[in-house]
Amino acid sequence: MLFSLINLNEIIMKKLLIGCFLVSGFAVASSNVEETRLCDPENYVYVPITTSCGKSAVASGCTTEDIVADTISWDQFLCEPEPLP
Amino acid sequence: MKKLTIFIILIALNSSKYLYGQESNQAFFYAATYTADSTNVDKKGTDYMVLWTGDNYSVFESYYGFQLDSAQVAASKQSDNPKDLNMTALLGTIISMKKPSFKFRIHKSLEESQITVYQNLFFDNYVYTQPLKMTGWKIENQYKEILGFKCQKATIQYAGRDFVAWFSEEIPLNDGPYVFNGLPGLIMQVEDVQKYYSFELVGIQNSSIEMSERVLPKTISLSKNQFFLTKKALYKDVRKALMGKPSSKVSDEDIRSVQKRYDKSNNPLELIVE
Repeated sequence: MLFSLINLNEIIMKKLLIGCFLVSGFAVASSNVEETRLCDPENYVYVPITTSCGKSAVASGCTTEDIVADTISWDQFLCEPEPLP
Repeated sequence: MKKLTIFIILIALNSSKYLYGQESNQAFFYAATYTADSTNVDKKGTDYMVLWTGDNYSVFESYYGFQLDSAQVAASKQSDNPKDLNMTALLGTIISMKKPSFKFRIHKSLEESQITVYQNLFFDNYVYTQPLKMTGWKIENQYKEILGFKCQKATIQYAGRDFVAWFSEEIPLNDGPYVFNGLPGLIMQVEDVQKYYSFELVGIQNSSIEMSERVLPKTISLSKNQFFLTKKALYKDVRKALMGKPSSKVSDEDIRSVQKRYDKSNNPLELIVE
């Protein structure tokens, strides 16, 4: 229930943010993010992780594949030394 | 009758190739280097890339990404329900593995004359297409050896940069690393004249993988131009990448540190999006 409320707030916030983006490419991409990221909140699993540079994050998703992919993304987001331009 | 049977079998085999995808028969490994920050050219990033090739089809991707994917597939095969697995141990293994710098998977289809680029950007996967054909190669009478193969020089302007390539007719594939293709032999080495980006062949192996499976899941389909606009917007403000992420409680200090790294990532391979 708590997670459902959190998700509801995040969805509302996200829709408000999307409305603010004027750059066409980003607007298109943002509107599609919702479809690709979210699944039934009841099936969501949250796993606390410690990234390779020692920073904490929470990987989440509905399937094993989702959570592994999210872990890799978090690790790269927080730790990747030289992001490719 | 026997000939007819053989003919039917051959037709069936050929059709199955399209039904079940494309299988590679060789893998060409490339050492890749890149310069993320044009104000600090001595600092190079590296990756280890692989070009899987089959009949009229190829995939170019980071081998580190391929290894991560294999671990992900193995875990999903155990159970796709994360509640059935020891996720802490599994994710610990994933975190300890080498990560790709080049987060794209480039599919070249000779039959469709098209390149399809699957690319991960922060927490989402994107896909766009572009024409396969590269026009404007200039072949020169200069030769050198790479891995014992006789290679010839060729040059091209692509996406706002001048590139020098070395191809070998001893490997009769009109393919190469990244989106490069269209020479009368495999491109063994290619780099821009400023030496910001470089791909060099370091190994060849017979290898059979299902190339049609080397895609990214849950992709957002964009035009190439839209993709690059999105990338630019996200790099400029990395906080946007966390939009809509459940439990995205990252400290302001961490965000500032991530933004600092992305601000230094200012030297893309493609300067002009055509």
